Amino acid sequence: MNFKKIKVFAASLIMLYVILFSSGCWDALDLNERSIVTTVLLDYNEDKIIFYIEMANPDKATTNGSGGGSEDKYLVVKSVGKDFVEARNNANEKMDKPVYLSAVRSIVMTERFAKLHFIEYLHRFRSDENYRKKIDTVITRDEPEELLKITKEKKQSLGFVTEDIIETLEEQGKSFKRTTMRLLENISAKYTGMLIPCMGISEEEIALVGYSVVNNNKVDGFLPVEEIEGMILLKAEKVKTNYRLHYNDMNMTVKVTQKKRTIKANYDNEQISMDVNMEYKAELLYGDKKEPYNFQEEDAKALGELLKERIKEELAEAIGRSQTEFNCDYYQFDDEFRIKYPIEFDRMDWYEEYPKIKFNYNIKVKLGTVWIMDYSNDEAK
Amino acid sequence: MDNHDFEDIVRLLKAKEHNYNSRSIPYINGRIEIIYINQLIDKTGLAEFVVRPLIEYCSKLDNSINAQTAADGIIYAIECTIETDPSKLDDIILSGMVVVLFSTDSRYLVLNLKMVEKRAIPEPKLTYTMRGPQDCFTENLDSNISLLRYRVKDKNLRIKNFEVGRRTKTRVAVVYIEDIANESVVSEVERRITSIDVDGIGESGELQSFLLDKKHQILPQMGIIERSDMTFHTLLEGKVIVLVDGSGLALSAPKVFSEFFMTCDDRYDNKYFGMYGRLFRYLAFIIALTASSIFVALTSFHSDVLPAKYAISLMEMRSKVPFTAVFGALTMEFIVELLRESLLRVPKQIGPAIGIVGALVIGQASVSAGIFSPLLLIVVSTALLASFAIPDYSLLNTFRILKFALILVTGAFGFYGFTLFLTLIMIELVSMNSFGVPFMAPWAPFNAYDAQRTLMYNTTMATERQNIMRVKNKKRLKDNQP
Repeated sequence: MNFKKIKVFAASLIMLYVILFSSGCWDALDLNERSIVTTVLLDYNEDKIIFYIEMANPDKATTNGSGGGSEDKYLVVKSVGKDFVEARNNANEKMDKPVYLSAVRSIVMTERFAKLHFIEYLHRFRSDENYRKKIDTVITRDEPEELLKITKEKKQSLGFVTEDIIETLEEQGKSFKRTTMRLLENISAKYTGMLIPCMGISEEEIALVGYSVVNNNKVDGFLPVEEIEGMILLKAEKVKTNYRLHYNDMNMTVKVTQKKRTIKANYDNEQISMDVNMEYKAELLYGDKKEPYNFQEEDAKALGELLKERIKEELAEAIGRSQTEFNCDYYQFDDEFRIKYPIEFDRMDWYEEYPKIKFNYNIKVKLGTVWIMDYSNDEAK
Repeated sequence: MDNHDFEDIVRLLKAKEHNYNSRSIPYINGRIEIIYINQLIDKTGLAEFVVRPLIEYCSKLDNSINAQTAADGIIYAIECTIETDPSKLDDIILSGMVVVLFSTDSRYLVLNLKMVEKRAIPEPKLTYTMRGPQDCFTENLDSNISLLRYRVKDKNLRIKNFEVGRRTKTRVAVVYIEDIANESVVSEVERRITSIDVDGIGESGELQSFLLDKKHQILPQMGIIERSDMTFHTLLEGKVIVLVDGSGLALSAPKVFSEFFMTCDDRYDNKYFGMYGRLFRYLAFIIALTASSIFVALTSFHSDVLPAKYAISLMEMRSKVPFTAVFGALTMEFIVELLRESLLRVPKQIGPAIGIVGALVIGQASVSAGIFSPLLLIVVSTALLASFAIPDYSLLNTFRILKFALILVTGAFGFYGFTLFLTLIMIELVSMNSFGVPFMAPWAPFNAYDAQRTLMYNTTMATERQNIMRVKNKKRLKDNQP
């Protein structure tokens, strides 16, 4: 055997070795041989951890993907245990196939579960590499069985419905989401205050009902969806909202879009202050009077001022509530301060300092395109 | 040739085993023997331009006649040479020439009155074109050369003739433009052709296998050309064309990977459309090679990359399928190959029927019976459609084989095996060369001008020939062209 042949033989052996021993793919299962989990719902009741595992039902579909089989498109397996391990083992005993966790759309925790096991579950989640880490995580104050009953009646998946609602609202600038990845980042920080979307039942539909306040890694309060205007201005990514303002005996509806949001931390004479700088673009949509109204420059200015005041009030109320009612920095102003003053932040107790922070509001509103529809200044010209 | 030799030679040539035809013309002092093969010559021409003048001349003859006299003033054949070596007679007659022997002269005449049955100039069957010329090569070498000469009226066009095959003595022509083509490529092609020692060559494909670098090469290193207009483009690029008598496909060398994706329409149409079509063909090639393997990898190993709704939909579609993804994909590909192969072999009238049966059996019955998932059917059909978009079938054939290997490796090791196998193919591709030109040029090694020309070609843009061909004369377009 010449040297070239030896080289080829050795290279083949190495390649075969690498292929056989480093791939680890021999135990791979086809997708249809696994149970595709769409939602994990976690509850705690009577000292027991309860898992509700919602899975896609393959028998629902025939080979061409529609109709036939059982009526439920999604199946739910419930398992109970004194701890996570036991609950999961009980769940495994009820499933005919290995679970496939990469398709989980939402993790739903009941409030009573989150009050006690929030951190432990997130750590458990982090250790399981089968999950995608960017899963929407929500809290519910309703009974799991009730939520699942509604989705079953509507032949929906709780996970998909939750994800779709939150993503749609986020896209409209009316909400924000919290993924497990983000929560894991938050709980690793020194100070933990955050808001988690809260899903529930509203008029027999699954809906966003508010936000749960997590203070020091425990669920500590609730902001109903009717009281979150200021909070949305501070937390949502693409804020778009409408305001109804009373001006000159008329109610005017204005569309407001947030253009810029910056928070600047200051630390002078051991006093923390925060500059909340906001810029908005506003657009007059309509009014409630039939007669045409000659809208002048000064009217636009006055309406802009009204809007500015309204926004300022909402912001002040939202922040003030976090300082006084909840005593929790769930808007995460600590990030801004820590980045600018890391040494000072390390030395202080943020829990004590946060309620004392002074906030300065610098709101800019540009009321544009007001010369539309019935409210033009053509006559004035 | 004295009288004794003449009689011996004629007796040998007229022996039954040869099946030669002959005609004797006696005259006062001797005899003329005309020997030929009936099926290879123009009989009317022989009678009119050879036999008739010879009879008329001989009837008035009172002396002897020799080859020189006949060639100079009696025979009207255009190609007429005088030979002396009697040992060449068999080869000359077998090549379709007419031999005229004189009892009073040791020299003999060789007349070219060849006429074999041949097809009319056909339309393309392998390389369809929307707006290009429709004339294609036939099995007749002279017709093919006439098509070439019709398109390239250059005094530097060189046509070198060779004979390959101890028994078939097949005519092979090497064509190139002398002041453009790279000399080393020309001499290498000629060297390889002259070194062939085989009993027979019937088609250019057989010759091609002798011209390859390695005997077991799976990837094509030479191009095939069916259309005569593509031949002159190829010659103008400085390449060498090899024509084989009896084959309707010419060979071209060197040929690089990117050229397998070019069509003549790319040259004739708008350059942007040409570029779009070429990029589309690259994509089609990737789909044809990898679609089934990606399906296997996603279904069996890496379903995590799928969005949840697709994963559920895929699971639902496969819920009743009894086979694993890899088995399903291999079986489906096998059936598709079966269909393709049978459609190639059956008469045209039966082809559509097989297509319908195949579509019904594969498309409907197998899905309804739950043997295959509908998605697999879509994937394999898409791959099949994509494969039809590749203009050069010789490259496609190679990758049809590699596709099966890729599915098997992916079925065993997922995307890991998929990547590994594609890497091996890539290593092979970048290691190959075609008559000294790197096979993956102009991408590896990279050449900016050639790469730009490969992506977007237009006669007005291509001021120079490709650098990778290392031609003698690079200039294509004179400066300051409008």
